[in-house]
Amino acid sequence: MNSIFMNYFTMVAATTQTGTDLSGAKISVIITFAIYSIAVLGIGFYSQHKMSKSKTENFMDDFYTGGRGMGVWVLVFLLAAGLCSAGTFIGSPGMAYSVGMVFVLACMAQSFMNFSVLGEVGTKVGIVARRINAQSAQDLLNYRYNFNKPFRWISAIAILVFYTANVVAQLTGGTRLIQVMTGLDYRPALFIFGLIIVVYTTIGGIKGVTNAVVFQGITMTAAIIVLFIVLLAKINPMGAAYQAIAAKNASVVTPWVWTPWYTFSMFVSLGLVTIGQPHGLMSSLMYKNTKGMHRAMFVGAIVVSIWTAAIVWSGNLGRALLPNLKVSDYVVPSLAVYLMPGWIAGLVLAGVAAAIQSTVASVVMVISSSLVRDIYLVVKPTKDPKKIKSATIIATLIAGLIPIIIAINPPQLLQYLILYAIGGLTSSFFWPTLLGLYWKRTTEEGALAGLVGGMVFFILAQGKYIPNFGMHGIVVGIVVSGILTIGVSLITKRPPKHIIEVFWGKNQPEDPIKTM
Amino acid sequence: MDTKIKRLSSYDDRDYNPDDIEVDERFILSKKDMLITFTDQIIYTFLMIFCAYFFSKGDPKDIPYIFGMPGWWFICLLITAINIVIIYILTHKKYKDVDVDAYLKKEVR
Repeated sequence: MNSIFMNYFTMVAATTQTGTDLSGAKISVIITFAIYSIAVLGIGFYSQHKMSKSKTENFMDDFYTGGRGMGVWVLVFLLAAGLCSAGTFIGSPGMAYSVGMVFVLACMAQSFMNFSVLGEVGTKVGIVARRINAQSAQDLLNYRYNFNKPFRWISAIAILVFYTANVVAQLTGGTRLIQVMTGLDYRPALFIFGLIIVVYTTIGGIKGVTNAVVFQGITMTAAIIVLFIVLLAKINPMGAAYQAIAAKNASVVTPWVWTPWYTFSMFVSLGLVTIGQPHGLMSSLMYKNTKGMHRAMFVGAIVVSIWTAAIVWSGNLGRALLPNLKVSDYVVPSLAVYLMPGWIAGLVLAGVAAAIQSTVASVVMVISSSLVRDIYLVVKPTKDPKKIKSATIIATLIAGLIPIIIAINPPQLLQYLILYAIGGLTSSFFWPTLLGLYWKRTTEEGALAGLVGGMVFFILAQGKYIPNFGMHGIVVGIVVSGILTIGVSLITKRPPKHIIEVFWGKNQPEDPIKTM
Repeated sequence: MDTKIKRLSSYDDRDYNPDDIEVDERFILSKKDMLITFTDQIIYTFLMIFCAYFFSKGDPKDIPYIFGMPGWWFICLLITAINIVIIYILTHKKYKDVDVDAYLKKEVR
């Protein structure tokens, strides 16, 4: 999931670093985890082999969008595994354990992420991206908003800061879990876990990411299904399990612990505004044809709804077997370690690692492309393919290494950034993305107002500095951002003609259109 | 990115009639898909929340159970399954496949 719930996870984990002993199946866990890691590295080197055949002139295109030829399964998992992270595997089952079934209900909002992202913007983004040779969602927005400097800089900085914070949170959370399950020290665990991502993103580019993501998606699916089936067998019959759960704490079986409005705002944040996440849009830039895209929407709906229902629900069902967990975030690994054979514990850790690494890798690609295209090439414009090639590689190294360095000793300030990261980005980008694509009248000034306003009001509402009407702050952020985007657009001059021609027109404009 | 290409004077024209620009049919289709997708998502959201809260009213100790799980949750799983079928119909029958080449006709205006 959207790592909105990572903060609970990292905060709890940060205070109880080794409070839980999950080293019960050390040897099998280490072996399974090692097999997974070696496989991902192998995929990385295999992708490099392919990448090395690409011509220097096309390097950047191949690196970030891989020639726009992605098939169904890559699309499914690039979107699903890219968006589902430690939140889905760890944080949300933990919340389902401590808050109850209402959290499982809220998480179901993400089930149709492939359908919503690709259905809402897939076709349009795919065609326009080919028109202007866009390598990222940012490229597309920058073009649409006339390369407006403040828009470009603020969105680039927001992406760099918030995504880096998010990556650090994911890395810290994953490393703590590896630490408690394998007995490795924090730093070596972090380096092994993090450097694998750096290696396969840097040498393989998007090919490395997409080849790895299919393997990671399959690992996640296997881990979830095996865990869920074994869990169902253990608690069978379910009726008795729920009687025991409800007898102890009846509030965890009813949605009424939250108001319907609060649940609604969670549905908004996890489901309705997913296109506001720039790394979720990557797949719309890369699909081969709409037939594959349409199939990916359907397959993705099945995959993610099974992931979400099974793993998050497991957190709630876990109360029947482990009613007194100290760290609720560790409910899934605890179930695996305490009650299942060692290899299942290993598979679960591999699944968590896969969920985190796939998310981090796709975010690293977004950060890297932003570093090259929004910062390096703006400050030092160059057309030299060799320079662009080395800049691309260096940017990816930086995007991957900086979060690892920060994660060695995460600063206090980071907690706040993580708290606001994904919600802030979503509140900012939702309307400028949607209206930019479907409303001709959206102007660069309107988009800028929506971008900044969404971010500011989300933070104010979420931090309870202004009323949030008993809902998740994202609702206030989205509403304000929408009003600002539309209002400011209407009082400013319509966008230049060539932009509308590129984003709507049937015929190729006579002016040469270049983005680089 | 830096664009140092000679522009026609009309390039940055902001006083034009947007209706004069002939719209690519594929974008008309994609807008329709977008509206249908949002509609489905919104209906799913309200149906899930309504059923969850409606079928769990009263004392949490007395909520009905179906197949051993809270009844409202079973209904939510059912709604999710039905939505997957709807998505199958939408993506395989309703949404039209289009060519994704940048321009359908390579002619210059």
